[in-house]
Amino acid sequence: MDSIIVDHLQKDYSVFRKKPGLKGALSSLFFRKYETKQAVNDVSFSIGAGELVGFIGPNGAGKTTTLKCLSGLLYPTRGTVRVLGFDPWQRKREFLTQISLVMGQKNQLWWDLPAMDTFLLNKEMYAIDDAKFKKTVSELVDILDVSRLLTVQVRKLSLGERMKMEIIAAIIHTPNILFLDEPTIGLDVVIQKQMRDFIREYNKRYNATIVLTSHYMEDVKQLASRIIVIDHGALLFDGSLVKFIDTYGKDKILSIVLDDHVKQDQLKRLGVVLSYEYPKVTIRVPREKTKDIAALLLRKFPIDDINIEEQDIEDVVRTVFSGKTGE
Amino acid sequence: MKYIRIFLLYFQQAFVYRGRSVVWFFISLFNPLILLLFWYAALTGGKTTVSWSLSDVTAYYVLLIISASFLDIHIEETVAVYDISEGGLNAYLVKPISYALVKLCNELPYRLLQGSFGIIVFCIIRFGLGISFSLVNGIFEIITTVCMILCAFCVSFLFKMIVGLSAFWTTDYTGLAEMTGVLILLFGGFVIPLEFFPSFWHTVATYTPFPYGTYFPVLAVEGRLALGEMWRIIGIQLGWIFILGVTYRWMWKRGVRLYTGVGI
Repeated sequence: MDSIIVDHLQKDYSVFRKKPGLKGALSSLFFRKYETKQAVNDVSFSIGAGELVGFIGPNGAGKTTTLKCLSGLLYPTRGTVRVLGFDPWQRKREFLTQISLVMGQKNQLWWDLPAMDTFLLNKEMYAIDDAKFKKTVSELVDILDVSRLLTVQVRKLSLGERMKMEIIAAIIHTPNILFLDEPTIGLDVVIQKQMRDFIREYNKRYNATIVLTSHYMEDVKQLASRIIVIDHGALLFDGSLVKFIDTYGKDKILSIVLDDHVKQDQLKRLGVVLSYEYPKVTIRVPREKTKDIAALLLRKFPIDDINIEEQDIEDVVRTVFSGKTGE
Repeated sequence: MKYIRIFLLYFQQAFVYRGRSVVWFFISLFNPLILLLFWYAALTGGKTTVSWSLSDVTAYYVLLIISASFLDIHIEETVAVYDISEGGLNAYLVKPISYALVKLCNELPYRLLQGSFGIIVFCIIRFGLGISFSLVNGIFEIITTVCMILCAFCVSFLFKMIVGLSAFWTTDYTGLAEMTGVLILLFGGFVIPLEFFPSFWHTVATYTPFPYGTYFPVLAVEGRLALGEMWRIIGIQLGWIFILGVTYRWMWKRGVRLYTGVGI
């Protein structure tokens, strides 16, 4: 059963355009020009219960706007959104108690009080009973290893520690649907991994539907089996990571271990040499010529080992967003 | 040359906020107007029906300061700047709560805390300095005064919430906030008691919500109002609570539709 159904969603913003300079300022005093910016344009998709979906797109693509529409923060200009059978915009109690939105660049914790006080505030807001609250806090604190920080003033916590507390505050009511907007932004690699492990664990333990946006492709690679790619407000791709690379990854990577020295120029004729540190070489070659080039390498060069790999998702995404695929 | 360019940039910025410029014009108009009213009252004292002695005026201002610590709500900046303009409202909208009630819960502790400081100051003035005040007496009068203070809190709270909600429509709400601040000072009896006003301005003041937020409750605490008059004022306060409540709901319903939560 689908938890989330988005049908032809469109969200427009009205943007004030001012011509530069004093002349522009004077004319804007009397004749103000507004433009309609389509942040999300005719986007449709559905997400099943318990799915963990990665939402990818460059800055300003419309990811956050979509997430805001799904969580009921924004009123759609056109189209419909159903989350757990509810119209998010109506913000009914039954809906709000089943969702949560975490925005990496916004916080809900009381700055000058320990995080536990915010947890207690949320406990009251969501009307969580004492026993469930204690159990959930204890579980979450344990998984994220922050028990010793519960009584420390939030302002004294590091960014990573604060983000862990933010996550706990957001899911203290164990929501069925979790919207995560850049949850690992600004965190170091160790904390990023801990957060990813936690998100995966939460998804499994509570069969929660999770929609995740992140600029770190590692988040998406590690967590999401399905990705939705959005660019300029429009849906570009919806499917598995493998299918995405198949569709948009025009190249493959050959990882070679040489038996003897080979001139780099000879290899350059076959593809783009990404690295050459004897004996290891990596070459990017066109997908359709991979087999032929691999065979040629084995025939004509002193090769000890060769591996054919898919292009890194990050490279594919970068290529797609910079418009180099010709798609 | 460099400073001319800087000046021109600031000049351009001034043109961006059209509404603010108008509002700041009114503010610059109101400030001298207050002084004008004060001196008008002082110089024409003999011709008015005002019967206040110096000790009455002193008592009035002392009680006003204490009442203001209870009743002068400061929620509008949080609502406008932190919640609406900077996107802090996101955290409230995704929770099963009433925003207005959460803000009320947020504000009330500050008012009680600051009000208790006000009572300490009153005790120091009354018992430490030995300055006596005439205060309301009689059980019905005291109960009615408490009712009036509660209604005054609601009037002030709803009004300030409405000022805060204006940020849904304005890029910079501070001009409007300043303007309403001046009106509260003027018609809330903070500058001079409304009785000192010329009758026209006194009438104008009573048609605004401002005197019902602080001025009349202070008169009630002083024991200057008869029981019947107190209930009449409570009736008007309830009317204002209804009007402001309806306005708040109307603005909230339309405002959240315009809300962007910052960023795309």
